[in-house]
Amino acid sequence: MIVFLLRRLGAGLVLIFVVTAATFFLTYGANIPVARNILGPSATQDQVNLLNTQLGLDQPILQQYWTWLTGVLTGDLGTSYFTSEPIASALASRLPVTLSVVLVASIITLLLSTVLGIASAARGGWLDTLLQSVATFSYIFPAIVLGIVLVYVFAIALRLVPAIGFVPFAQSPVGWFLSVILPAVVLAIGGIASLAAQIRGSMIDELSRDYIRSLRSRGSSEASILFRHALRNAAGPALTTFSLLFITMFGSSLFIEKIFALPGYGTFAFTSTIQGDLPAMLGVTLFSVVLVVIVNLLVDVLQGWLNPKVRT
Amino acid sequence: MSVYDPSDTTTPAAVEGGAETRRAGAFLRLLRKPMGLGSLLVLAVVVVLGLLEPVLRTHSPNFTSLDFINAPPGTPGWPLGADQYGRDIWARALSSINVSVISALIGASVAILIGTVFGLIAGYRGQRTDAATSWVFNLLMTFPALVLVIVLTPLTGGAYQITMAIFGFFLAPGIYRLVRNLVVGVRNELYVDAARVSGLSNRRIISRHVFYVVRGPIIISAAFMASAAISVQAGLAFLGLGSTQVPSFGVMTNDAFLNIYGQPVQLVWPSVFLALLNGALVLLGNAYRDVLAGPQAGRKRRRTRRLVGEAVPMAAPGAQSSAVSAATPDRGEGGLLTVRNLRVAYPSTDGSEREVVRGLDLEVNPGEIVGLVGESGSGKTQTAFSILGLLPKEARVSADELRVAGDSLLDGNGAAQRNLRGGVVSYVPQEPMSNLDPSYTIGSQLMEGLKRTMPRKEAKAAILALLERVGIPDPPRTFKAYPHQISGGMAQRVLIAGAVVSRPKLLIADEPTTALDVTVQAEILDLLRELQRELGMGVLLVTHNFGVVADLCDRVVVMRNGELVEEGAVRDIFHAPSQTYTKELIAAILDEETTRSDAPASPMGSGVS
Amino acid sequence: MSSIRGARVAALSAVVVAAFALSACSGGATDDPPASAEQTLRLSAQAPPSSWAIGNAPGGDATMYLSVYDTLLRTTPDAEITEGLAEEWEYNDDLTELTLHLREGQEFTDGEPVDADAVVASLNVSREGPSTATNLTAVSDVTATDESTVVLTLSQPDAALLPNLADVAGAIGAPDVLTAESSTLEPVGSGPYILDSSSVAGSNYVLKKNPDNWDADSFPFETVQFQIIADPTAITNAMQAGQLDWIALNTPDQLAQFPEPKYTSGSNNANGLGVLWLADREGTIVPALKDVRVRQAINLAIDRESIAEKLQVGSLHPTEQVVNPNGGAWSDELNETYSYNLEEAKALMAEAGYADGFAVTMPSTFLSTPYEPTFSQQLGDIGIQVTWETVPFQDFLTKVFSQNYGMYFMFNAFRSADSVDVRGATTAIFNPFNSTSPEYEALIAEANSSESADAFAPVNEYFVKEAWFAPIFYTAGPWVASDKVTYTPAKTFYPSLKPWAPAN
Repeated sequence: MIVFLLRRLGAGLVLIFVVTAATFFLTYGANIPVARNILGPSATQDQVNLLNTQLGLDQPILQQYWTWLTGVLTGDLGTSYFTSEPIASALASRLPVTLSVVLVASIITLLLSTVLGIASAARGGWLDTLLQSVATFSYIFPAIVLGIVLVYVFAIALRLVPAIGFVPFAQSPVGWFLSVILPAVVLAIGGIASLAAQIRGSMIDELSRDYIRSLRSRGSSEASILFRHALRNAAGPALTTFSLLFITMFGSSLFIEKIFALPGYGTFAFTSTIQGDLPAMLGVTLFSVVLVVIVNLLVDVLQGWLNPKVRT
Repeated sequence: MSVYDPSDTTTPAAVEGGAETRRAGAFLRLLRKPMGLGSLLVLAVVVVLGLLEPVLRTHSPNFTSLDFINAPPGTPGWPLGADQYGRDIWARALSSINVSVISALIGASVAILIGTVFGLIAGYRGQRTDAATSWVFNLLMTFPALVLVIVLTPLTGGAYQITMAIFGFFLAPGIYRLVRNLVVGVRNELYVDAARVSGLSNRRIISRHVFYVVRGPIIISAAFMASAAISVQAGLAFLGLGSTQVPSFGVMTNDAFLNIYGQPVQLVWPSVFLALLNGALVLLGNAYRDVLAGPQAGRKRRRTRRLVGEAVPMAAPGAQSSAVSAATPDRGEGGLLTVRNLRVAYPSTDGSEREVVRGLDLEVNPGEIVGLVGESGSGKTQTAFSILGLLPKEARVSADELRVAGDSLLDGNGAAQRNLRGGVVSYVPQEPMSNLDPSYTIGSQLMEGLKRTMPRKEAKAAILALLERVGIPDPPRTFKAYPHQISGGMAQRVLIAGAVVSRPKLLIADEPTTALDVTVQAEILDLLRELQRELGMGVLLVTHNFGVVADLCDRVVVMRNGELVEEGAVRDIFHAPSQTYTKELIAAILDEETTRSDAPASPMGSGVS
Repeated sequence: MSSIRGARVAALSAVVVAAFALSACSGGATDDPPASAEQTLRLSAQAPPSSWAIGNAPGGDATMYLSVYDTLLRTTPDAEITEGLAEEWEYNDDLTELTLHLREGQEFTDGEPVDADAVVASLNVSREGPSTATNLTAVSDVTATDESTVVLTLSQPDAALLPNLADVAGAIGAPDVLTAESSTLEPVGSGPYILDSSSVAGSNYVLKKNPDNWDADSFPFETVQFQIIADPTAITNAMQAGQLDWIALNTPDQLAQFPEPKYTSGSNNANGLGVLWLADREGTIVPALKDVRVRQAINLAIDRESIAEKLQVGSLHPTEQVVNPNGGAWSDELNETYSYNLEEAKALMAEAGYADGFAVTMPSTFLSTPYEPTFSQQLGDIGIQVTWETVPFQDFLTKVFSQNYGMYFMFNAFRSADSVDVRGATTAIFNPFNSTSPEYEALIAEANSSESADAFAPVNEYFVKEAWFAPIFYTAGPWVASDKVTYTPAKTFYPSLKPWAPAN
């Protein structure tokens, strides 16, 4: 298991290296007129040239890459061209926002889709049909519209939760929860359908396996068969789907952040790109890949815990 | 905005043994399903609306008329009204359909092209090629595509076509996994080997056979990917990434979002069109998957839906439990197992019922080993399962009498039957490995039923002792082992131990040796015989193999097509079978010896036995 | 990388977005706090300040920036120049030497005095600063003659100098950190407010009152919070959910969402304008634009009345001038010069030899899309075929600046004086071809040498008659305040928190 994890970690590091390098050469190689954009319309060509030199943008791209890479290895992700913030601290200040939303959305997704998936697999009949219809509908219904409706009902009409913004957990746990619950619901809604479908499918597969019949012949209770055995074995594939979902939610949080004016990672990625803030764009990419690697490692560990075959 | 993992949309099983005739009918059957026809119609209508845009549109999509700003739906010449800039919403919706359709086509095509090509190569070549490409595609799959698509906007210049092509790359792993797994599955099948022998090139083999097998699931995945591409394109446009000159549902949604306080109705149009497109695609994918899964699919779903819980046998209407069937001689000893006029039926798709066991009478006496013999589909396993109460829920079981050790199985509730099962009747399955839960240690699985009847410590001691008794070399180690850590023979011993730990009166063994190595088979049969003697159990041995019957049984019951053919003492029947069918079965010992070759004869075969 | 400052893309987008959406900032009170001086004023801004450093002020709304930094001069809500850090100021006779007498006893928040040396240091940085250099081009030298006197020497008279010294170019920062990297995020000034450490860069800015500022009494709120909200609908949502105390609205019909007495509302004065900039007056890439008759025809072909009437009803007002309607250079009469007249426009085109019109390519950004079809149609009526080319916003500046487009639509924000607005319309992004004329040079020199309120009227008249631009509308939209604050709109651009007060 340890060797396996180390190998996965190694693969993750390669992924980080490859993706950031590709992004670096694609974006820095795209000749975005960075200096001109930064200096604005009134700058002379001399000023532009001077800034290009200051930024090191006049150096060969390989050398720029080397500078960036060695910087990253020492923990320096550079400074934003447009807000002068160190990229690392800019990401660090935006991450809690997005992570909060994605985590709460994950919990909602996990809870609901597990319940729905199991109920629909175990009970079948009209419940299954109903749940499948709800799942399909929630997948089809545009999340943006849902977000708008929720804001109107819960924030504006009822004033139960804020319409915009983020309250740090440390400042007020209740305020924190209220500020992320609506975005989290909107973010979760599309994923519940696919995860519930996955869990339902896996549960049905597991329930049709021989060992279930064997357990039943030895007199195991239905609850034990359903939750202790079938669910445990169905959790593996569901976990993989969930990990993909988690990463997708991280990316999708961008749309949610726009509606709820959350100063999160997605907004940062978006504005950086719009402005052509190269170090920020690279920081975003780097962090995304690191997140993927971490999530995948966690999934591997969990799979090991779930599945004795992987463990040994 | 939302995710739908394309890899979970189908399973290789869906296309097993796809025959030409079945395939040819797939589209027709799709049309016959309301969901398939409906979603196809919706999709067709929407796409045609887009194609007919030049004819149908009332204005150019970017035309504005200041006189019609925020015109309500139904304004003459402005079917859906106009937005806050005075643009024709109907015309913009038509244009947006085309953008969505093109996005879907580009995204799905790129994904299919790349995924299929590499999936075919990796699956067919295997080994290093497979390992390397799988690694790359696994990485691709986990990457947050949306972030990279956005970060790369400066390169694409905002052209949605290019963005969708990039996005297609990130969708490719779903297709890749699908194709690769299917190809690996069929690679070693006989027809591919045969084709290779007949001198076809690899490329021909792939294109002719493998590609043929995988195309169904690809179509299904394509539907989901098309929907994903449409959503992502709309989302990016909603954010304002992309050309300002191209109307799309994302742009329309954003315009409506800005105008939400003035004209909330404008949010409806893009939402409805997006929902129609996505909904039709997703439902179409689902419907097509059902169709490809074939006639079995419907039944499989019905079966699996009801897997939890058992079919409870009912007394046959009007029958008196005392009635004695003339066909079976009354043993008069108050048998351990008494079955009278057992019938098992399943509802079929056309509403009628199909009987798989038709009025069977069966008797097992204490200490007696009875062989229940017949070929696949004869109903012997159905009979065994109806006694065990392990038939799927939709099975209709009825009998005049169904009695184990004096207790009727006809009127007990689930809990009572469970008690009966854990204590009085037990079961040894055919496949030892698949009958153990891979996630739990052997000890904990065996303990599970037992813990309800005795203290934990005692139960553990009993199991350890039994493990030793059934010939496990190191019982404590096996107790703590996981199923994958022991051999098939060991696993069967474990299951036998599990079956007898409660000192049952009746043991039902369903082909207990067929899945095992020849050398192990004899040992297991010996073990069964020894245990039977020690515990004085009655045994119902379900098998197709007269050799095993001859070796072990006192009496034999021969079944065919759900009916009793012949019954009697083993020696009598073996030496003087009265029926041709029995003769054939006996003759078959010589032919097949040990390997079981199941003909897919039983309509129930795939699911239940 | 540390020394990067200036008017950035973000800054430009802030200018135009602010002008476009008319919602530079907005505010509100927390959950029913007592309506006292302890009250927090909660506003929103559409973009975060790209940098706090001197010389790098954001190009758009500078309210936050100028709350932290005090300026040498200030403007009143009526657009008069008034005292700031300088209590008194005077020009020499030929307007080439400005003497500023500094207020005594002011300190930066790091404890250093705001003396003549500090002012010289700040001005010298601003003279090089990317966002301020063009405002101080006339200044050739800055000297401290004693501890509280600073003399600015000008190469030529510049009427825009005083208003600029009341704007970001006159902001004075602590000399120790003027060019330090820290100043981009942690400004050290002497203004009425101090940027609090609880601020989160990019999303939430908290300003605490600076009691030592000489004018502290004019700023009643102890705390002012700026939330960065880019999306106009999100801003409206926040206001409705009680999270803000004041917002600007796009159109008056949105006022229906904010009924009295829970809210108060009113109308802002002109704060920005939308112009079809006919930049290529030299005919470099669109030869037709060299001909004044073509430019006049364009002005005549555009139906300003109907655009202003129909789009964003109530917020857009037709204009044919690039100066502030509340300023001295504005003329109501001139606004009738190019009343919509297709026949006359066609005649002028024919006269100029363009009876069949010509083709032109214009850049398309999210700011221009709403108006593009209208322009295409109305220009098409006189034979001008417009091709719209989508330009990612981050490339817009560069593309325009490097002379890719002969004409284009873009917003500009009014500042506090005609002199500044006129310069804005004839420099940088609005004059990429460096177009000028001897008449204009003479008129501008004369205006700069005059101190009268309507000094720039002749320049404005020249712009209109020669059709240097095709102004379409100026923007002046409604605002809404919660019942916890009051708001008094200023006459012109007024980057200050003074208009807000607790409602008592």
